[in-house]
Amino acid sequence: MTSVTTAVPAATAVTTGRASRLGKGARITLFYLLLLIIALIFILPYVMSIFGAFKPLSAILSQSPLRPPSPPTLANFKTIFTQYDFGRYLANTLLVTVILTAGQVTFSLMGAYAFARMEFPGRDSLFWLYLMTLMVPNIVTLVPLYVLFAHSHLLNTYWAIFLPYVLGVPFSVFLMRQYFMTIPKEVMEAARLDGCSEGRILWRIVVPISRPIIITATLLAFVFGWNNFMWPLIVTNSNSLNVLTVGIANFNSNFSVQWNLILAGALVALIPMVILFAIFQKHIVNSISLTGINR
Amino acid sequence: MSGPRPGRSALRRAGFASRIMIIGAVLTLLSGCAGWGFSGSGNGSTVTLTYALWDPHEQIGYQQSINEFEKLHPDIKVDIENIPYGNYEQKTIAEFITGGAPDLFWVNTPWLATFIKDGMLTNLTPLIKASHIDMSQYYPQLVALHSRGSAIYGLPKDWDTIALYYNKAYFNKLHLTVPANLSWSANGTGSFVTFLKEATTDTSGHNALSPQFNPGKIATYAIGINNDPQGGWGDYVAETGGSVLPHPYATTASLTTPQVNEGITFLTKYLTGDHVMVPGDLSGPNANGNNLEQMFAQGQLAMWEEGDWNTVSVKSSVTFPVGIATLPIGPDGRVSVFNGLIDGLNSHTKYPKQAWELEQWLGSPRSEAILGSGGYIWPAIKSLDPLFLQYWQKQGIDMQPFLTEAQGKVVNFPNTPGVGDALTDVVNDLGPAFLGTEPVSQALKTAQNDADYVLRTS
Repeated sequence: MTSVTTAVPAATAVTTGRASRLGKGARITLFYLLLLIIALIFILPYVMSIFGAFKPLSAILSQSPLRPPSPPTLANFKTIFTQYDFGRYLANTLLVTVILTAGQVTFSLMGAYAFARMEFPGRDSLFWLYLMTLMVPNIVTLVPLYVLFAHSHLLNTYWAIFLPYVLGVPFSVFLMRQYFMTIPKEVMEAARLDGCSEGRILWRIVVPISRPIIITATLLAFVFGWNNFMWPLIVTNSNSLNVLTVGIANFNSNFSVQWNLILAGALVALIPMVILFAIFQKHIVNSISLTGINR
Repeated sequence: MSGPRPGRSALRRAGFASRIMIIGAVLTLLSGCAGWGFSGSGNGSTVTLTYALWDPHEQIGYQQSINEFEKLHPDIKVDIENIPYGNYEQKTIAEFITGGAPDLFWVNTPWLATFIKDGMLTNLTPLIKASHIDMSQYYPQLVALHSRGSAIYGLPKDWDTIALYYNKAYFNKLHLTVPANLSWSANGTGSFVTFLKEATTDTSGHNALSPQFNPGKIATYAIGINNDPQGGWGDYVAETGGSVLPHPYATTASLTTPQVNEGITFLTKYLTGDHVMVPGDLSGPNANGNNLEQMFAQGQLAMWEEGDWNTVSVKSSVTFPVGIATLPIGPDGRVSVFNGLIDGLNSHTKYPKQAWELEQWLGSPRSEAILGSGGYIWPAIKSLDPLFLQYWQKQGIDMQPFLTEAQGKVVNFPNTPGVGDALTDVVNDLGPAFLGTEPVSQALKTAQNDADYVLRTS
């Protein structure tokens, strides 16, 4: 009897265990299925763009965007590089983005250090006042900035494209300042006692131990500079100063929209970003957690 | 063991910091260099003119023309500024406000009168007289379109009319030829309507004349016409004797006339009701022709009514041979909307003399021949039209119907200050009529009110 009575719950337990394992398996399958669908939703536009970049216009307009190009053609790329000077647009974009990034990171570092670890009257009020400009959308300052550049005779130069962003931006300063606040004061004080100047403290002590945040700020600045469209569109008149985003937008005429060239151009603009992501994947993921914590 | 590590690390740290500084210094030096876009344009004895346009395809042709111009004028350099069309008007105006506007720039007719009124364009009449330019070489309608009173604001460069692009393979399959002189009446009858019914087929292959035709399963519509005052309803309104404006520079529209109503009713009631025209919900309620172009490329549309500027796009977007037919003949004859572009000469340019040289060149037979023979534009100089025709014949497309219309009866694109914005409102207001959710008379009444308000306040 005993064995029977004990056997029954044991069998039930086994069945329940199996059922729960099955239930767990089904849940996991469902979960991954859902993730797969979400991933597809995010990936499909890129797949369509990549396919489109290798198709002639007739195939883009007459076929499903999900149909792979058959045969793939490089004609679109040839056109944008031979007829439309995309090589120059690429060089322009790289030049202004590198300058913008280098300047923004360097000056944000200095500003952030001053706000975080230097003592001067009104420091915090000044910081919050500076931070408030973060709340002002770019579009609001667009017209005054344009007028400023017009009066400075800097329109239609490379200067105009990067100058508004090269001297640091509030978000970058904020990001670094919060990071610097986590560095123990004692480290700087010890350096000062040893006769280190503030500049030396910044470059020799703070910068080396703040690599993660510097890389984060660099990536943010680079991606912003690379994708910037409205400002370069407004401040440049000459095609020789076009950046990639403006060059791509130029294919949108009222006479015709050359989707094949737009998609090829978009792929050219996308590739460096993908390479950047591949190289700095760890840092980018890290930067998301860093910015998340510090915000 | 722990000794050497800090040393190496310190070295590495120093390296990292100094690398940043070196990059910064190099870039600063680089950015300090004069030239290569770091300094403003214009130096020495060479004058640099900026020439603004919005079409990347025509830019190639214009660059060829400008290369010739620069050879003839070694002291003038021309920098082309291609502005995306969607931002063109705003950017040009912004550049005028800040004093950095292009010396010469394409002017589309919807903005023409406003640009003249705002003093952006130079009156070229004295210059034309002084340079003895023969204005009779151009289409007279184009000269009239770009004049106000005795003042002429640009040398005509090109023109466009509206016709029907058709899918030759589809008509061959149906054993149909597109007749040249189809006609329509305001009551929805005529050879044009019968032909369209014959050319519309359902998924079972029955055409719209057949009793077995299933309008719920149409495979190919005979025609696609946009809610568009130029490439769409504007031509049908003109063919009933109606017009958007009673005359150029009018301050009120003339949309509530019976003629305008007849023209639009023919499309929204008769052609849509007969299921031969792509309905508004498929073509899109506004003038964006992308949907119809895509349907045409996919074979869901046998004939697409549009302007000749679409030929480059049509040729590269289809996989079948394309034919072109003239517009059908309406109650008031065959009438196409006629339009063309000029180069506006900036009234505040620093280099009026050089800009006038470029204006003259771009309106000259030599430049128009370069662009015409390259298939970029129909030259505004009448005698050069065969060049454009020949280019497209070699490409397998006969453009003659567009020329036939230009040489026949045409109406100019509506022209008055604010007409661009007014027409945007009109198209939006006519949307419900094309979708079949509002009577044409009501939609036109709303459109008239909105257009009048814009024109009064422009």
